[in-house]
Amino acid sequence: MNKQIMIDAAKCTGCGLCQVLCSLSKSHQFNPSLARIKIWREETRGVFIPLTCQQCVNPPCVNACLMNVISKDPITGVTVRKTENCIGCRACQIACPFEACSYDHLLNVVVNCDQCGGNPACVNICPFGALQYLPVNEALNTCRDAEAVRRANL
Amino acid sequence: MSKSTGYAGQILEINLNEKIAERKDLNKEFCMKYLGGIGFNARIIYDGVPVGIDPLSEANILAFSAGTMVGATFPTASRTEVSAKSPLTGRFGTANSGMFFGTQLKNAGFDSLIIKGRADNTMYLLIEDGEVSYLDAAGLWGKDSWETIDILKKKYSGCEVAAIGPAGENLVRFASIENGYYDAWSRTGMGAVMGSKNLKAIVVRGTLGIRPHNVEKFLDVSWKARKLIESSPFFVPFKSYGSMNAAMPYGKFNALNANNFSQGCLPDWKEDFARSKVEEITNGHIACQSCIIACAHWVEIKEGKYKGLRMKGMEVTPIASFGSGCGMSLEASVKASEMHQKYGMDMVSSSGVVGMAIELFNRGIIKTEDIGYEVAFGDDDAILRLMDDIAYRKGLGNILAEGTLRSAQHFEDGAASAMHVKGLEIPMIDPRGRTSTWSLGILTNIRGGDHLRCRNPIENLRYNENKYNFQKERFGFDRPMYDALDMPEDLKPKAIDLENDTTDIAVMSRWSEDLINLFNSLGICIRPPVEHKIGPTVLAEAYTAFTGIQITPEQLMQSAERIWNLMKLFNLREGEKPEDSKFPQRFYKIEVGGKKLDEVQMQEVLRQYYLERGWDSDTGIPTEEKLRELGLDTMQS
Amino acid sequence: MRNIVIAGNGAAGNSAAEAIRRHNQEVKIVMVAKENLSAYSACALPDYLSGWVGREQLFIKQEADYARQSIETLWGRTINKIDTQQQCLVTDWEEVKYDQLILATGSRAIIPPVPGSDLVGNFVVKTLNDIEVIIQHQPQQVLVIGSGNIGIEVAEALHGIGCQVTVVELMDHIFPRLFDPEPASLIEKMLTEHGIRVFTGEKLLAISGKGIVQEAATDQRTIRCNTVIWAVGVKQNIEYAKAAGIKIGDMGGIQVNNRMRTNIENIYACGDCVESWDRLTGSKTLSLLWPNAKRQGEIAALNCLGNDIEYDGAISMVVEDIFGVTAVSMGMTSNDLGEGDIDILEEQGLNQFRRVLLRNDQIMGMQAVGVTSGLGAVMALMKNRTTLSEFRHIISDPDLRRKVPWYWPAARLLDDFTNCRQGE
Ligand SMILES: Cc1cc2nc3c(=O)[nH]c(=O)nc-3n(C[C@H](O)[C@H](O)[C@H](O)COP(=O)(O)OP(=O)(O)OC[C@H]3O[C@@H](n4cnc5c(N)ncnc54)[C@H](O)[C@@H]3O)c2cc1C
Repeated sequence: MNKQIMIDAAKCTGCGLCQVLCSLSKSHQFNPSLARIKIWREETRGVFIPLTCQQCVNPPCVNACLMNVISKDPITGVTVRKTENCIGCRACQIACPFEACSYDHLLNVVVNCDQCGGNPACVNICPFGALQYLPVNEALNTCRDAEAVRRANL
Repeated sequence: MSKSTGYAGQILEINLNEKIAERKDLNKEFCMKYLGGIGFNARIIYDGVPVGIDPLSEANILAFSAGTMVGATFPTASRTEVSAKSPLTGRFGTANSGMFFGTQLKNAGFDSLIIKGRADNTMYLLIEDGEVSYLDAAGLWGKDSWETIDILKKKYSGCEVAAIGPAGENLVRFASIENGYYDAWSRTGMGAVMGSKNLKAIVVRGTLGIRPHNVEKFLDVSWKARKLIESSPFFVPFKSYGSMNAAMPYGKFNALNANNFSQGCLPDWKEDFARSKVEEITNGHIACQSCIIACAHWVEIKEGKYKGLRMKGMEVTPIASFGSGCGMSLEASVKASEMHQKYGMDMVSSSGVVGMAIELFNRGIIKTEDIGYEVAFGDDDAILRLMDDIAYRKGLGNILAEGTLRSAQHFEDGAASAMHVKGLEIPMIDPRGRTSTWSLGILTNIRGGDHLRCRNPIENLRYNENKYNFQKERFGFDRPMYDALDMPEDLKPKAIDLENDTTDIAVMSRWSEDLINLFNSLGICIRPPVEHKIGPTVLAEAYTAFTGIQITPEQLMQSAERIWNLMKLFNLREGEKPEDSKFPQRFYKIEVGGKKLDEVQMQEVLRQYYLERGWDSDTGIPTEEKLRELGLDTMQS
Repeated sequence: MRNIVIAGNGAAGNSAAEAIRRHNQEVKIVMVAKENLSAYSACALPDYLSGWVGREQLFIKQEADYARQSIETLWGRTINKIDTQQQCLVTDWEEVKYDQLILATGSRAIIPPVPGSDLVGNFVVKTLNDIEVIIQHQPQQVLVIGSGNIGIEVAEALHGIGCQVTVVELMDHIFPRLFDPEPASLIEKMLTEHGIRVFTGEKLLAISGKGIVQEAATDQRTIRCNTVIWAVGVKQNIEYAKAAGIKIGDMGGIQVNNRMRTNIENIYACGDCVESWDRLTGSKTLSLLWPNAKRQGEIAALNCLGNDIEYDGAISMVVEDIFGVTAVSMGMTSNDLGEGDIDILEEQGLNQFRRVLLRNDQIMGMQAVGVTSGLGAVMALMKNRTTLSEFRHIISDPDLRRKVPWYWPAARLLDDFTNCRQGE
């Protein structure tokens, strides 16, 4: 069954460990600007929201891509990219409501979370349980209600 | 140095007069000797600040150094040290703060930032991916730090900001530099130094990345450190209540600064005040970079005059400084914290100087007409008003803005009410109530009366026994804890008497000062769950994996010791005298909770400490032999 | 076996082919197109011109991909006619029988009949071949006519490879279809600062030269140039369809219903060649955008396979890179909406601009320069027709907003406008 990284923003403290480890795993350096997970910081409200690819069923990024490099992996349901053809135009990044596409400024392409092939580093290191890797159904039951689903599945 | 060293690899030296920047490459020897963070600053300040200068003149320099391991996976590695000659103490001024400034600084390509000179017109700096821009701060000057940060964060998305508020602009001697909205480099007046340079803010942002030398090993040791921290008995309480944990036992021991050290504890603070209050007004935790504890809380005041006030808060230092030190209500203490953050002013020094003023008012030395209104301990409104006067140097505030040591001279017998050591206001713990490694640290601290650079890593706050002539404290942990302590095996029995369950204060103070110095160099947090089991062994492993520079635990501790000695040399060069290492007379003469300190005995403990340090036992001056051992013999004091 | 024929090998045609294959492995698919190349993205042509991407990177499909998906390809064919009785497409090579036909022949760039526009050195930018002939021509002083997204992208690309570039726009501001005058002038400023000359409100009258372009005359000045690039618009490739009795709309595109069906049985159409309608206002539009072409292709394909899927209309989102600064236009412009009954929220900073256009509390358009985060969420609000009040209600309620954490980025974007103007 397909799994998804579920975000419980209420538990996020904003420590950024997910970002430093993500960038290390993907780009071999600690560099939040290269992470495929972002923490949206509403500092003056004490709110921290991890934002990463939600692996939408009908992703706006796929439609927005001017080079047709983004697609859904038919088996895992993960949104994947053929980055060789990416021209870095950022259309997908702008189209994503979750701010979940990251510009890889080393390769000049846009990337998104690929769940580390089924063993997501960010989930493993999150000290507060704000990130969990769950089968989609379970994830839906535990963390979302119908309204959120309606709005997320654009 | 090669690219994969964990270090960003460069120090950026900015001259504000000329608007020029110089980049200096780090070399391996410098890194090994001074590590990073406070270590780099110690050398930078020692070498760069001419003897005897006015700290608010353009000859002073302001150094920001990120801890070595900041911005990576090592738990809690987030801290950046800011140093300069202190306008408050005239000594080595320095302050440490976490959050994300260091991460951005390193990602912008620099381990350290050295700021020299003075800008002709008010200015802010933008440091981004190796480049510096000198920008006009005309639109920011006069704004409080939150307004400033709002503007800059909006303008440079994803940046971190170090900014001063009105207190820094007005050269209040204990002005802080705010690190984002809710954190600060607060003690010893670094904000006044920044203000004297006409520098309103430093914006950092970067995408250059930090490359560890040995990725696998570094991740392993990060994970190991995490397990050590999580297994500390302090971990859960700290996660839940943060630093407020300490308030309760200290209240019980009558060891809090209550109403300018006139009482051991206020009635409110006796009981389970701290924890229950934390539960009452906070929701949500906030972490610094890579912290697995997240000791900070989000506070919302739900009723009363300050209803709707929301901020990161309930740190013991501000709450106890205002609440216990000045007798303010909890809500007003939160309000006062907010005000100090906006104004960019050190809460400990401010509450210290206000405590002194109220006491002088009660003694009839300061009169209503001197202030323009009456003040009293517990009078929230009057106290907030006085603090406002200080930040803007209005009326009596103009005198108090000079700090306790200087302003006391304006009043008859003012010194008797001035609760400082070496010019730095003493924070919320009263050594009369509990004598410990922690309280000796207030005397021996390089920065003066402060509690954050010396702390027994395994003290158990359940105990308080005064039967050891101030030389020992009950340590209160079992064998496994003792075994788990990361301390050289030959030092352990000297520092800890397991059989009698005591710690030798002099020995432990030296050790813990060096240990904390090491933490402040590498950029990790000194909070109890960390300081507890993390020590040189695990840190040497981490440092070596991170930087590729082979270092042993002994070498690491020696570097920490070198750094401490160098800062001491700075203070001596500025004229520090042995007799400066004294508590206010009150601590020796007046009892709280039936206890006071014995001056002769305290001197004896200090002597033991000096010996432990390899310093002259009478003068506290590092011996030539010690300096030679540390490779500091060519330095002059 | 059922035989679906797709006319056109662009965004729409390929999206249709892929949608068919995702749902059906059996039907036969034949693709027919004029260009003898596998599919490439026209959107990246300016980047190819500037050298930012290589030629091979332009291709969104390789020949082998068609084979793998069992798609028969007939490249290098010009469609001349459709025999709707016999259900057969007539090209200059053969007749291709179809059970169902999807028309996706896109559009072509136009060169208006201005004196001298037939001289050597006049070009358009629409196909890969267009770029290659421009490169061969070795442009030096370039005049770009038209300042839509193609005009500006090409101007930047040529400037990037060392040409002296001048842009002439007939309307009073650049990007007349994408941006309101204020953000457009900010962008114009950036272009000029980088050395591109921009003249708006200026009409090109004639081009002259001895066999080759040497000079252009506008109603204001003469401009020396060896190259003229025409980026003044396109015309739909629909002549063959019109001849077959397929209805053409007033704007010049093939008329389709909300299933992308034409008036003729078994014939669907999608992409640049159709006339669709705007998702927010319902008014007729020629969308001419890649994502809309893809979505339409998908809808046509699914309906062709017998599903009943409705197209909900075109919505525009164009992202421009102006010398490293991102400029985005989403939805409608003030001009599209008509000044009268719209509310405007806006904020202008140094090299930054954002403007939200509202009608009856509903977000109808957003333009942003130098700001990117939060735009996707705003786009989602726009598509979902979430009103601004509803949005603000949700974001101010801790319980509600917990369920839609991605509202936060939009909140920051929709917050703090210093300039709010109400429509009369
Ligand atoms: C330079 C440039 C930049 C662009 N940038 C953007 C952008 O940033 N964002 C965006 O959204 N859109 C952009 N576009 C527009 C986008 O490329 C089009 O909307 C999209 O290509 C339309 O796809 P289509 O399949 O409908 O038509 P096309 O891609 O034009 O494909 C038409 C196909 O039909 C074939 N054909 C045409 N006539 C015949 C015939 N008579 N017989 C046989 N075959 C025929 C052609 O060979 C071609 O294969 C850009 C276009 C250009 C030219």
